[in-house]
Formats: sequence, structure tokens, C-alpha cells
Amino acid sequence: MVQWWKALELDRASKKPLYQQLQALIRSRIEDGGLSESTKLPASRDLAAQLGINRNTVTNAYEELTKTGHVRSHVGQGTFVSESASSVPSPLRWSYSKAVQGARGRVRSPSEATSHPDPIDFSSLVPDERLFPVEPFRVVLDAVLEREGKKLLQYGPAAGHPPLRRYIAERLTKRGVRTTTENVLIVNGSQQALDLICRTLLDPGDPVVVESPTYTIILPLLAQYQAQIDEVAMTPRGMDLDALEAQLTHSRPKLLFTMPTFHNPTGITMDLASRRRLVDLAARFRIPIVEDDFDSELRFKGEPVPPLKALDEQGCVAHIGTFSKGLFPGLRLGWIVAPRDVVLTLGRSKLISDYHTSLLLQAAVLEFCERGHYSQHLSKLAVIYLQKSRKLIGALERYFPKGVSWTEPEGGFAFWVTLPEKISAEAVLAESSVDGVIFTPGSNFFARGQGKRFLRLSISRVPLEHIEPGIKKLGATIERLLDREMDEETSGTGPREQEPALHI
Amino acid sequence: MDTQTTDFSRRMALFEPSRSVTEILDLAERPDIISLAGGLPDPAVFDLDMVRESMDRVLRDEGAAALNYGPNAGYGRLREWIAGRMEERCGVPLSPENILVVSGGVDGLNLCAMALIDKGDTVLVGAPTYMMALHVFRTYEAHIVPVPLDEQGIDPDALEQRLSELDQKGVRPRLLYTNPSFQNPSGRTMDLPRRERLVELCRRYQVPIAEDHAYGELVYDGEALPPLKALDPENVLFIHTFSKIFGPGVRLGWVAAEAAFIERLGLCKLGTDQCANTLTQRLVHDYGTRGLIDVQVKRSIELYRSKRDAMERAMTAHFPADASWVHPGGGFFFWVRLADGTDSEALLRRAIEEQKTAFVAGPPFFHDGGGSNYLRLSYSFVREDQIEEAIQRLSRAMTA
Repeated sequence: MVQWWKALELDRASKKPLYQQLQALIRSRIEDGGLSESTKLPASRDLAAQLGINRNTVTNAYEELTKTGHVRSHVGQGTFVSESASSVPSPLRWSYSKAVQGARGRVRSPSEATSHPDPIDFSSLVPDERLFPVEPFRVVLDAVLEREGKKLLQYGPAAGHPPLRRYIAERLTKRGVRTTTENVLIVNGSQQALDLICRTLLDPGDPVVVESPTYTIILPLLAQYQAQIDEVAMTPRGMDLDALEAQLTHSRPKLLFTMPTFHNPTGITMDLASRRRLVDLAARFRIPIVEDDFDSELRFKGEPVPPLKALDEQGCVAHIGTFSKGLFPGLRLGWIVAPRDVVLTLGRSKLISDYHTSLLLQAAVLEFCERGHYSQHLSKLAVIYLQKSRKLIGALERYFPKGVSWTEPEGGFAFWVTLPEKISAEAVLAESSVDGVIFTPGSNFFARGQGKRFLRLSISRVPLEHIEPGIKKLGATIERLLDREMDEETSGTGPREQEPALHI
Repeated sequence: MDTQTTDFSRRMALFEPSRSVTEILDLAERPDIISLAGGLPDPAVFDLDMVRESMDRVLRDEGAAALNYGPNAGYGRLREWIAGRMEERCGVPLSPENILVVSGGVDGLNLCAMALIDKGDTVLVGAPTYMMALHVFRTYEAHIVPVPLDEQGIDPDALEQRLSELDQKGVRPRLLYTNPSFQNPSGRTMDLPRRERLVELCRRYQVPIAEDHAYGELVYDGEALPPLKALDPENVLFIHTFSKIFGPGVRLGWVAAEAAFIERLGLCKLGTDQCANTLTQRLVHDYGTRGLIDVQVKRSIELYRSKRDAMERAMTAHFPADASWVHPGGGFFFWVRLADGTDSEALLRRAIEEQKTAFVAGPPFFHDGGGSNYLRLSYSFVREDQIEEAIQRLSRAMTA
């Protein structure tokens, strides 16, 4: 018989101690039946020499195996596989809930795909921490800790810190929303808002309307809640309401998700007339609307449009807001504004999710806002992002070939580019990432992976001076792919798959 | 406005309004009531000066990074510190990949339930058990099977019987939820042979254990016992919180489990709230690496031990002879048994209205009723000089 122990392989780079690795290797051999009862294990000295490890390591591993009953040792005779070892229960095989199995894995971000050490990044929508007002926040945090620290390190109410709830209600009142403190629930960012809404309202199989394209992370979330996803296309005026109305006449969705302002990924803002029509449709067909208003505060030009919630007379709209885009994402602070009974029920879901959101951070952000720092910061962002957006549009006009079009948002970070039908964003990314320019391919934002000719450019983190060189490279890549496409067409390569035409 | 009626999901009907929990928090706020209800830490254990120092240092030295999104599984150095501390204190060999930082213990429990439970799946719990655990399992539409406690927590003979009955029906429970140390609400603790037997049984029947260690560090008598996680590292999901060793206001905790499982839990966390908030993770890391969590735990032990003793003395002196309890060696609670037939919910109403004193009545800690002759009294939050008064008031309510 081949000496089985010569094949044992230890991973010296692992943080797991060698004796534990050895113990696990031998144990799995015993449990797999690879080592039968009463088999004698090699003497610790021999095994140590064979594996090039310390003898104590082997002794320790044997001791552990003795403790778990896998082996027994007899003084003067050596160590043997126990007779009962085969009945030692084997480690568990974890099996996950269907809900979790149903959720798709995380979308791979383009920055993980590139080998370039320092790419020009048009992909990330993460706010740029170089702009964070850290110093005033530090001062505010210390002030609230000094003033009421002992209270803020304690548990708090599930619905949120009452003064912050009141502040958010007042802020929304200024935007035309009729609301009070009781309509506000504080949550851990807009992601938790979405999760609590799904948890509170969806049963498996419920149909849910989303925009197509839509926010990447809503899709796995809906899959996890086993919702049936119905897509409604985007138009330059927001969600296609004709298509929606047609759909509503024959099916009643449980929820409708929309980002009417600076939509992610397209940057489109729904106009006022369309907003009124959407709210009317929701009231007429009794469909709750989830208005994800995550970045409306990042307006850098044009006039604000009232949120859907301001037009909502029949309590159809749950409005989600967050401090993650305009202030600090790391605080995980957001809110839901909804009819009172809905907020009460959502609050119960919040309680069994994590009791409540950090009281300390709620108080700190409130103080920060009340001292005027938040408004100042938003004004500063508006100046910077107006500049960046102008730079981007200028560069797109100059360097992108004919046949490419894009949206021109008045706020937020996302610009949506439509390529000529012949080429796909993935193909562009494959080449541009080598040149050090990355962005997000459009197919990430569609429930069924369609949308190959779209891409999203984000101006969130890219420095102003990198915009033009980045777009220049990207334009050249697109041009190159188009040329190649023409060559292939003239040389008569087979037919290609037709992308459905979208309105954008 | 507010005219549209909302159709909530089926799961929302499956847990009663968590009034008990919100009421507990509300009562603690009322100045005229002495509350023995909430499991709140005593703010005296917080070292505000040191917290301010840590917060200030974090924002000065790591400001921007501390305020942006962090890794989904948690701040790397905090995961490392947690793994190292657990290895040192509990003898569980762990690496950072085994740790998911969560937004408090309930979040940890909720994520584990999300990862493991489908509608109709069986979950084993103690009778009584932590009421939030019941609520969480109910929202996943679990089939909850309670197992009675004896003086040391979950009764292993009863557990074995349940497991064997379920096994004969072809049912493999998806989870056993337990607090082996200073259980909420009963304050009971499993000794080492009990722990070994429980772990062995669960492994034999292939049932993962969710071990809630919330009170595990608050040991007032003798030495800490090894957590179940140390006895069976593979089969135990270990859930712990910073609420009792730092402060609930940061909403932080962790789950320790096999790396592959942690990765799946991380995906669930991505859906629920992306990641635990970055700033307080760094705050707690700074505070912890300065050794201040361990100092705070020591301080807490002194403080709570003294309160526990005060409450026990007062109960011995004032409670009716048929009131009984098991002396808790740690944690926050006395679980008091009154004469059979006592209606603890009626007693609670009387205690609040007539005696301005609050506690939690037994029934919400049981999945299927029962426990009406039990009270949970918490000594953690009440001022020590009010304990005797509170117990006297309760005795009056009992004899009224």
C-alpha cells in the first residue's frame, strides 16, 4: 500500500495553524473511510520528517484527534484509528434557504475586472471621500458626545431618534410633502429601506414592477423575496407610462419601484406631468409606489421637481431618502416616509431586523444638518459636479464617434450612453480597461441581462482633469471597435443578434 | 391622505406587534416608573471620555475612509481584532474570514435565519427563549418547536426526544437557537457536560446551532465556560453583540462561522443594508485595541454583580414564600416563578398602575403560550439604590 501520509499537503501561507491543518486532513481521511479502523498512524517523528514540520505539530494534531475520538493512542505501541471513528458524526453540510439560493451573486464590478493599476474610473457611484466635510463632522460628533453621550450609547426607539424624524419631516415639507414626524422611519441607508419594504409587503410570487434599466442591487433583493419582476422601459421622460398603463389593465403588481429623479443608471428625471400621471395611475389601480429619491439633493442645475410623495393625495407613495449620496455613505443613514400605518408596520420589520439605527450617528447627523453644514456641503458639491458634468459632455461631444448618444442629467452622478447597435459595452470595456478606462456595462442594470449596447458613466469619483483624457481614450476604443465591425461586415461574418430597441 | 389600505405580506401577520419590546423601551423613559423591564446596560459603564478620545482619533486619522462605504463583511482590522480576541478568550481558532460584522445581535440572528430557513422549516428554541428570536423565526414562517428548560437551560433529554421524533418523521431541523450562558430571559447557564451533550446531539442529528453569546462575557460567579463554538467550531454559528460590552447605540455585533457560510451571510447583508456602519466599526476597533472593552467588561461585572446581589437580597426579604428563582451567575436577569395560576400580565398592569414599577411578564418568551406564572426582572438598568424599593413595590402588587 502506498503510504497515504506522503500525500498530505499543508498550506504554509494559510493563517490556520499547521497542527489544525494536519488534524483536519487526517480527520477527513478517517471520516471518508480512507483510513480503516485500527490503522496505525505513522510515528510523530517520521511524519514530521516527511512533511518537514516540527514534531510538536504532529503531536498536537494527534492529541486533537484523540480528543475528538478519531484516534486512540497506546503507550509504547503508537496511535491508531479508533474502532468507533466511523461513527463519529461528520461535519455538517450547510444547506441554504431557497430564498438565499435564489438571489444571484453580486455583480462583478469593472474595477475588479481590470488589471490596470490605476484606471480612470467612470464606474463607481460611490461618493468621493476627498470631498467629505470630515472636520466639521468631527467637531459635531464630539459636541453631541459631550452633551448627551451616555444617552446616545444606549438603545433608542425603533422608528428612529425623534428629533431627526422631525427634522426630515420638516425638510420634506419644504419640498411640498405633507408629512409629520410619525410618517418618518429612520433606517440603515436606502438599501435597508428597500429591504424592509420588500420584507413587509412581498410574498413569494408577487409581481413587482421595476424600471428597465434599474438599480443593480434591487434585482437580487427581489429575487431573494421570490418576487416576479415585470420590467417597464425607460423613456427620456422617465418610466414609459403608456406601457405601464397597458400592463396595469391586466395585472395588478404588488409594488412599483421607481427612481423619478436622476435615475440610476440613466440619469433621467421624470417631468412633472408624468409624475402626476404616475401617481394618478397608482391611485386608480391601487398600486403602492416606492419612490427611491436617493440622489435628488445632488442637483447641479435646473429647477427641482416635486417628489412623487408631494403629489400623493391617497397615500400610495413610500418615499425613500438617504444621507449616503449627499453626505457620508459609511454612516448608513436613510429614511422612509409613508402613511402612518405603513410606517408602523415597517417599524416592526425594522425592530426584528436590528432594533434600530445607531442613535449616536442619528444625533450627530441631525446636529450637523442643524448647524447648516449639510446645506453648505450640498452647495459645494453642486459647483463641483456642474463643472464635471460640463467637462464630460464637452468631451463626449468631441471624442465620441457619430451614432453614439447620451443623456444629460441635471444632477446625480450617472450618464447613460447608447452605442451603435453593432457593438456591445462589454466589448468596449474589455479593450478600454486594458487602456486604463473603466465604466459599467449597461447589461448590469437589466433584469434579464439585456441592454448590451448601453453603458453607464459615473462622474462621482473621477477627478475633473481625468475626464477629458479618459473620454478621449474611450472614444478611440469605440471608434476602433466600429471600424473592426465594418471590416467584418464587408468580409461577411454571419448575422448578429438583434437588441430590442429601447426608447433612450 | 393616508387613504389607501395596504396589503402587507403574509409574514407580517405571523408575529404579533412587538409591543412588549417597544413598551419596554418606552417605560424605561418614563421618570415616574421604576423599570425592571428592559435589558438595557447601565450608562454608568460607558466611559465617555475614552469614547470621545477614540472617536476623535478615528475622525482625525482615518476621517474620510471612516465615513465612506466599507467592505460588506466589515472593517478588516475589526474582523481581525474580533477573531484574535475570541481565540484568546474562548479558545476558538478563528481568522478574519470567519467573522461578519453585523448591525447588532438581532441583525446577526436575522441574517442566519434568512440564510437557513424556508417557509415551514423546523427551528428548535428554548421554552422560554429570547422573544426577538421568536419574532425573527416567525417572519420566516418557520415551524417553531420549543424545548423545555431545566435549571441549566435547554433540557438535553427533552431535546434528544424532540430530535428523535422529528428524525422519525424525516424532519431535520434547520437550526437550534440557544443562549448557553445567562439565558435571556431565564438567566440560566449550561455547565460543561451539558454543553458537550448539546453539541454532540446536534452534530449527531445534523442540526446547526445558533449560539447567542449576548451576555456571555458578564460572568459574576466563577470562571467563564467555553462557548459551544469552542466545542464544535464547525457546527456552531456564534452570534455576539457589542451592546453589552461597549454600548447598544453603535448597533454593532458579529457572527463567527465557517468562512463559506460567512460569505453567504455577507451576500444577505448586502441586500439588507450593504454593510454595518463604518464609523462606529472603527470607533469600536480603536476603543477595543486600547484594551478598553476588556476594562469596561470588568467594570460592568463589578457593577452588575452588586446590583444582582442587591436584588436577590431584596427578593429573599420581601417576596412571598412561594416565589422562586435560579441564582443567575451572570447576565442581566432574574426569572422568577410565582405560584401556579398567577397571571403575570395582570400583575404587570397592577404593578405599573398601582405601584409604578415595571417588569416583563413571562408569556412573550414562550412560543406556544405558558409562562404566565413567570416574571423577568432585569437588574442591569435600574439604579442600585432603587432596587429594594422596586422589589417592595412588586411584592405589594403580588399580595394585592
